[in-house]
Amino acid sequence: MRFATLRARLILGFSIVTIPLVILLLSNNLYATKVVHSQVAQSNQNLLTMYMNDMDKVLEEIENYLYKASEQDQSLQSLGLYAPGTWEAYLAQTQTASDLFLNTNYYDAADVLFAYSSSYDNLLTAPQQSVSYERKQRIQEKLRTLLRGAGARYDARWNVVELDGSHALLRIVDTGEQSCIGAWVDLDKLMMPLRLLTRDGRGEALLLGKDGQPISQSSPSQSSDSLQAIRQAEGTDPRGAAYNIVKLDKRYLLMEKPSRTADLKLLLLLPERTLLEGLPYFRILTYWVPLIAAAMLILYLVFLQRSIVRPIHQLVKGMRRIRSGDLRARLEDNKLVEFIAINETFNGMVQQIEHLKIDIYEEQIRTQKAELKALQAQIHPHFFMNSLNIVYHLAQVRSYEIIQSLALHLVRYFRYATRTQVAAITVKEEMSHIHDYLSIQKYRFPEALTFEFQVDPALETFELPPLAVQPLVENAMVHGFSFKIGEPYRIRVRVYAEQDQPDGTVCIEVSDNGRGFAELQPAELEETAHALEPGDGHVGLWNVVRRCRLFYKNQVKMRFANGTPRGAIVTLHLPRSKQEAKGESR
Amino acid sequence: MARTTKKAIAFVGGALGVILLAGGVWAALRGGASSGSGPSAVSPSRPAHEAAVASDADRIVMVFPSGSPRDLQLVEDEMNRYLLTKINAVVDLKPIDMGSWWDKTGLMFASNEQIDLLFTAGWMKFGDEVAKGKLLPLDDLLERYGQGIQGILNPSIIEAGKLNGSIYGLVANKEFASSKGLVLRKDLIDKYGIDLSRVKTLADMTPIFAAIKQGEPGVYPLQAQAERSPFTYMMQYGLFDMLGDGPGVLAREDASMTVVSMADTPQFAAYAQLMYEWNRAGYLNPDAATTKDNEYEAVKAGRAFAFAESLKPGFEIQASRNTGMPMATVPLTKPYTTTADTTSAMFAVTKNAKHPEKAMMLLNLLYTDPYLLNLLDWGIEGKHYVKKAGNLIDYPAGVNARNVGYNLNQAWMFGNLLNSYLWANEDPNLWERYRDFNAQADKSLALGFVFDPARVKNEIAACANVEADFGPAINTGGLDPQIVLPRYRQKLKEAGADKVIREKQRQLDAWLAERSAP
Repeated sequence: MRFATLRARLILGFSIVTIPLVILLLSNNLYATKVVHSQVAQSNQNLLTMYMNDMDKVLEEIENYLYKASEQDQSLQSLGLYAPGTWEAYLAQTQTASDLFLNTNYYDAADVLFAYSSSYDNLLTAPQQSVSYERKQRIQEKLRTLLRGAGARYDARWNVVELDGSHALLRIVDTGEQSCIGAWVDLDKLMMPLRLLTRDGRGEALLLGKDGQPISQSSPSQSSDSLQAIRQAEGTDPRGAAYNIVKLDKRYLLMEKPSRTADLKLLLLLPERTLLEGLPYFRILTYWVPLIAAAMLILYLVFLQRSIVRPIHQLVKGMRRIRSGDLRARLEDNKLVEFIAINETFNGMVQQIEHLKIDIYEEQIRTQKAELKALQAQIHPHFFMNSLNIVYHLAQVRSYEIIQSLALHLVRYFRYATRTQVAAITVKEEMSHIHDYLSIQKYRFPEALTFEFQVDPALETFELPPLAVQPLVENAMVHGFSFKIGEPYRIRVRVYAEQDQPDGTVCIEVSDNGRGFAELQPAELEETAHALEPGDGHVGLWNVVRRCRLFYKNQVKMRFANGTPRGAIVTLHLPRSKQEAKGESR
Repeated sequence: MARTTKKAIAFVGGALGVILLAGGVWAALRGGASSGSGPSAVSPSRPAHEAAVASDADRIVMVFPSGSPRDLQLVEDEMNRYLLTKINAVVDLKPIDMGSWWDKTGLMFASNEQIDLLFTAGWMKFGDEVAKGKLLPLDDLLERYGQGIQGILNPSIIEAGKLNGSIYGLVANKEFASSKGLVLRKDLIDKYGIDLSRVKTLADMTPIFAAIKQGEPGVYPLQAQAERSPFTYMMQYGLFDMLGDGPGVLAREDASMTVVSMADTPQFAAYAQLMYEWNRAGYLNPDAATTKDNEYEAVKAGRAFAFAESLKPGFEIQASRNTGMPMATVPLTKPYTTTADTTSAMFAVTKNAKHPEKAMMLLNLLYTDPYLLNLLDWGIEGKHYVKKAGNLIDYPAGVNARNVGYNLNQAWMFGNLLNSYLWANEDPNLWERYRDFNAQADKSLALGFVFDPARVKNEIAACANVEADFGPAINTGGLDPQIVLPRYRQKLKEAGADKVIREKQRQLDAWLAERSAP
């Protein structure tokens, strides 16, 4: 479930992009390392092969010379035939010797060419000019021992012999006539060209004998335990691998090539460091790269968190707060253009909602206030007290029927007045209520008050809010009533339909012949009644207009005028039909 | 707070990015820097002459018979530094051991290898090489570049290098006589209380050899090889004037100027018999017939007591330098000057030369420039020798004849010997003694005669083959001369030795006639 968050998505997205790249980088580097290894190994293997072939070729050439001489050289063949001291023996000797010396010029890889006759234990040696006298003597001694001991049976291969700590290759070819010809090749000299390859610590070259023991090396700096390690590495070398990486004091690339002609193997060790040039550094780098990538990911996330996720969460939080009712919630400023737009819009919307709600609340409050006021207005303590006063006086006079009838009227009046739950009543009901009221008032002023009703019968069922007309009549009683000798105060209530409107406006007119309005009063009253908020005075009128407006949701007008010759006329214009909630204009 | 953290994030993010980038660049540079020195393919055979030789300077190859000292390359480099300033050329010294001289030089000629200056001598087939066309005439070069040589060498000495009217070799200014004798180990001489003054003839050495053989096991009394034995030294230019190549010699004391076959002479048989007896007595190294070991090396290694040599004043000092131990000499013939002596150490310009002019310039310098000459003779001052007083030199501290890095010791070959330094233990008057030596030597009656082998080249070649076959046996006494000599003479006859002798006689007579004619 945590998967569906923005943060998770961002991480996922970033990972999907970076991880393949990092993997690519790593694998590239590894591949490059491998390629370099194998390429360098290949080229060095080629070099190695070339050297080995060179070496082999030189050995083969010498071998061919030995074969040729053993087959064709008469004096060599007769070396073993004649007893020493004879002319023929002497001739064979001198000619063989001079041939050997001659050939040392052409086969200068051979340090010593020699011929030997086993029948007379006669050894002739022809050394190269470069071989010192002492060395020649030592080689001669060694050869004598070997040749005597061989018993005229000679290996048909190049063999490794050791003399005074250095090694050489020895090849002996039998002439078949109890004589033989051979060559002694110093291995250190053969290794000379490799010295150039491996100088300055660029690598090591080693010649190994058939048991894997080192015979010759290009630089004498190899310690014995590293040679040991080489031998071990040698042993575990899988057949056919182009190269091997061994670890001695540092990592080396190990390549080998066996010789065709002798039981030798040429080993080349190249320090991996020089091969790979800068690659190890790259490799170190690529091990660091994932770490750095992770760090960057974290930073990226933190950055995104700040820039995007947080504002969005704040947005979500704000919305939640608003949902839970706190309309004070606002979003903080942000730097990003998008979020600025979002935040401003959000704040604006919330503000609107707030205002609307407040408006609604205020409406409700107003309505309640109005109702309350209406209610309050209805439960006139004065009126009630006056009525009770009348009852008291009537009781004094003992007019019990009048008291009964007054009580009934009162009951009906108050019952009706407190019936606030009713949303709408008919004209008829309202008129009857007003009739009760006025009847009660007549009990107070039996002579001074008269009233009449003129109701269009068609409008009797017309609906209006309760106690919409009552306050008008009350006002007429309270403000218009005046004692006049000779003429009673007359209130007339008329309900008629306005003619000129097609839909018809229903007019409810309350007129009297009382005091009437003062000069500016009608305008003032109109203004107060139609005002949005209840003013300090004339609350009853405002209440009526308000409730009618709420009821009809349409234009409701209250008109004040003076009658002729005197008196006030208050007309309430009500629409014929209730409009649907178009909402009153502000 | 948000602001600063945002800044911090931006900063850290930027820093990380920069680190990544820098790391990549650094690794690349690091790698790149050492890329140049990767294991590059190396050419398999590179001679030791990798030392900076100016590629545009001419390279003069100088070939002479000698061993190769350890510090040869150092001395050569030093010489080249100097030569570049003098003649804008460098020299490539190629010493070749005498034992393999013919084979090697033969190969060099056959393969057209560059040889600018070649050592040659009357006793080293000088005439033969001229006949084969291997050498270039030097008259013109000498005129143009050899002013110094002309100033130093006696015109008659320059004449000695003439053949068929052209000069083919220029001889070093040295002693022009030689006496033949033996070089012996002084310490053993002293040990056995040998009185060398009592040795007059070769045969007188017999008891001495016997004593050595008995008293010093492992030391051969006489170290010899086929071409260098008392026999060869005594016979050739000791008792006879060989008159150049090929059979036919003139007996030293013979006033009749008759060219004879050396093999027929009584001395020949006598010495052959002596060698045979010595050989049988075990006085010679057993491989004398077949070896080419250097006698000096053998003595140095403590394996030999004496050997034959061509002697001159102060030779024992030179020999001591070569063997690293004090040597004594005993001359067995009186000093003798033959044409061969006047051509005993020459340099010629070969047909394989790439820079003949520069070669002549170099040669000229060797006669006139003591600095260059002594570089070549003795090595680098301070390293191989130090100056004592005047022209005397000695080994530096800690250096001696055995371990000195440059022991070429062939000063007798090069240039004007009188310019060469003398060793502290040599006679400061050595050059005087040389002059006296030259003056007092017996002059061969055929001095100045140079034999032209052109007409008997084949016979000479055939006789040479016979020599090659029989020489070792006779010279080292390997076989009984009673058996061998008759055969030898027979073979020589078959090879046409008589024809050669007749030709020599003819030319000699002609030359004599020419000389005596006004």
